[in-house]
Amino acid sequence: MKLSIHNVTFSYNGTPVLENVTENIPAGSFVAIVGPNGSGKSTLLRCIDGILKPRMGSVLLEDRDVQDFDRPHKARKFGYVPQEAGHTPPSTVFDTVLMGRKPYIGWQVKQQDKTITSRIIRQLHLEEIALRDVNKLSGGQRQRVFIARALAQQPEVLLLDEPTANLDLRHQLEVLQLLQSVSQKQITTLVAIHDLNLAAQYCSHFIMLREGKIFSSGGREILTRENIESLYDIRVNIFQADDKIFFVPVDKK
Amino acid sequence: METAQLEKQYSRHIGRKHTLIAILLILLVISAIAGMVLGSAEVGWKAMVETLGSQASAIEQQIIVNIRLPRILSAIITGAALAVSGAAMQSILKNPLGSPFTLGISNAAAFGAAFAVIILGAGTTQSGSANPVILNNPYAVTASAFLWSLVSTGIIFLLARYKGATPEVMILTGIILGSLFSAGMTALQYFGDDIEISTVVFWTFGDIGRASWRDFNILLLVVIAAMVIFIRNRWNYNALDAGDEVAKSLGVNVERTRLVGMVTASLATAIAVSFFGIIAFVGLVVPHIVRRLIGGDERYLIPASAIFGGVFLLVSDIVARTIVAPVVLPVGILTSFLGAPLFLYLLIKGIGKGYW
Ligand SMILES: Nc1ncnc2c1ncn2[C@@H]1O[C@H](COP(=O)(O)OP(=O)(O)O)[C@@H](O)[C@H]1O
Ligand SMILES: [Mg+2]
Repeated sequence: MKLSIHNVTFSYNGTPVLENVTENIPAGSFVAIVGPNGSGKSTLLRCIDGILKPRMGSVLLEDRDVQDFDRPHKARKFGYVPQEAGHTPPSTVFDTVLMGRKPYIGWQVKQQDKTITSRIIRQLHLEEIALRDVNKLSGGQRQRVFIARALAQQPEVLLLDEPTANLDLRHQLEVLQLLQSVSQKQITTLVAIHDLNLAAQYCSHFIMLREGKIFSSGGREILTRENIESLYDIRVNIFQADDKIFFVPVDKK
Repeated sequence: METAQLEKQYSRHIGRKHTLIAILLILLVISAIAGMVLGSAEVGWKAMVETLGSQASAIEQQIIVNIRLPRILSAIITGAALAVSGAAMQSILKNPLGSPFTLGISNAAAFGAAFAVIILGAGTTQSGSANPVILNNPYAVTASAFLWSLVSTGIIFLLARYKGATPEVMILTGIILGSLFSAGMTALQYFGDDIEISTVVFWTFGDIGRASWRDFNILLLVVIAAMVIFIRNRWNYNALDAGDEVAKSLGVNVERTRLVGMVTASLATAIAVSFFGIIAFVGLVVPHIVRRLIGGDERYLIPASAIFGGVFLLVSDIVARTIVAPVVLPVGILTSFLGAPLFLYLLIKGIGKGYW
C-alpha cells in the first residue's frame, strides 16, 4: 500500500523530536530509516503506527488518514516490531504469534486464526520451537517470533525498529532477506537500521533523519560519501564491489 | 512439520490447561460438599441428601439451607471475586504486588466501617463472645465501607486519568491512600468508646459467617458482572503482557483497558470487603499459585484464578469453622496466617524464575 507521511511533527513534553517530516513511499518499498542515535527514527516509526500521535501532520495510507481508522482497523493495516521486547511473562511461540491475530479476534479465536498462525510459524521456520517459552529463545529466534507476530496481523505496512541489532552476521542476513521477501509481497516495509552496508544491499528506499528532520531521501543514489559524512559527522571511505557499495568509517570529522 | 500437525500439538498443549481447570472445578464441588457436612453442628450425609429432597428435620434443614449454604456459596463467590480481581490487577499493573489489598481498598473499607460505627453511631448495642459484632445498623456499616472504597478507587481513577494510567502511578497512589486510610482509622478510634472500638476491630476480621441470602445475591450479581468484563478483556490483558507499545500496535486502547480493569477489580473487592470485612492475601496468593499451575495466559488464568480462589476461601473457612470447634474463627485470620508465608515462599521461588 502507498504510504504518505505528511508534515509529521512530534514533541515529547515540548522538546521537538520530529519536525515537518514529509515522505511518499510507494507500495511494496523496502525502506531504511537511517541517522544518528536520537535523530528520531524510533519516534517516526511510532508515529506512523499510531502508538504516538503526531502533534501536527498526518500519515496517509492510500490517501486515507490513519487517524480516522478505528484501533482494530489500524492494527490490521500496520504491524510493528519494537526494538527491545524486554522480559515478558512466559508465553509460547505459538501463543505469541497468535497474539498478532488480536485485531481480528472477537469473542473467540477462530480456526482461521490458528491456521494463519501455523502457516506463518512454518514460513519463518519456527515450528520446531512452537511450544517453547519465548523468553528462553536466542536473540535471532526471538526476533523472528516478533516478526511473525506482526505478520500474523496481515498488515499492509510493516514497521521494525532496529530488527538486526543484537544479531550475529548470519541472523542479520536472514532477517533482512525475510523482510525483503515480505516487501516483495507488496507489504511496505520500513526498518530503522544502523548498518548502512546491509541497508544498501537490501533496501530500495532510504530516509536519512538528522535531528528530527529529513536530511535526504530517495533511492540508492542518495548513499553518497558527502551525505553520509555530514549525516553522521564522520569521514568514510567508500568501496564498490560486485555492484555493492560498502562504507567504512575512518574518523570523526 | 505440517500445519495440521502443528495445530494438533498446540491443541494438546491447550488441552492440558483445560484439564487443569476441570480438576479445579471438581475440587470446588468436593469442598462444597465437605462444607455442608462439616461444622460445629453435626449434620450427616443423610440429612444433607434429605434436605435436598426436603425430608430432613426442621433444625437440620435450617442449618443447611439458612446457615451453611449461604456461607458456602458466599465463600466461593467471595474467594472468586478476590482472586480474580488480584489476577487482573497483577496483569494490568505488571506487578506481583498488585492486588486490591495492597492498593488500599481494604483500608478504605475498614475506615468506612469505623466511620459508620463511631461517627454515624451504627455501632454495637451489645457484645458477647458468641457473636461479638451486633450492629444496630449493619446496612449503614456495609454502605459506608463500600462508599469509602469507592472514594479510594475514585481517587486512583482520577489521578491516573490526570497523570496517565501508568502502573507506577496507580500502585503508588494506592499505597499512599492505604496508609492515609489506616491513619484515619486510628484517628477515628481515638474518639470511639470501648464498645465502638471493639466493634470496629471485630468488623475488620474478615468473616464469611455474616453471610445471608440477601448478601449472596448482591455479591453474585457483582461478581458475574466483573467476570464478564475480565473475560471479555482477556486478549487485551494478554496484549498488555507483551508491553504497552505492542498492545497499542495491536489495537488495544491501553489506558482505557487499565482503567476499566482497575475499577472493576476495585468494585468487586470493595463489595466483598464491605460485606465480610478484610480477608487478606487471597487476592495476592491465589493468582500467584494459579500462574504457577497454568501459566500467565489470561484466557486460562482468569477462570482458573476465580475457581481456585473459591476453593481456597471455602477450604479456609471450613478449617476456620472446625479447627477449634465449637469456636468459629473468622476466616480472615486464617487466610492471613496461611497467606503471608505462602506469599513469601512464592516470591522467593519466583524471583529466580524471572516470573516478573
Ligand atoms: N519517551 C521519551 N520521552 C522523552 N524524550 C524521548 C522519549 N523517547 C525518545 N526521546 C527523545 O527523542 C529523541 C529521538 O529519540 P528516538 O526517536 O528514540 O531516536 P532514535 O531511534 O533515532 O535513536 C531523542 O532525543 C530522545 O532522547
Ligand atoms: Mg531508536
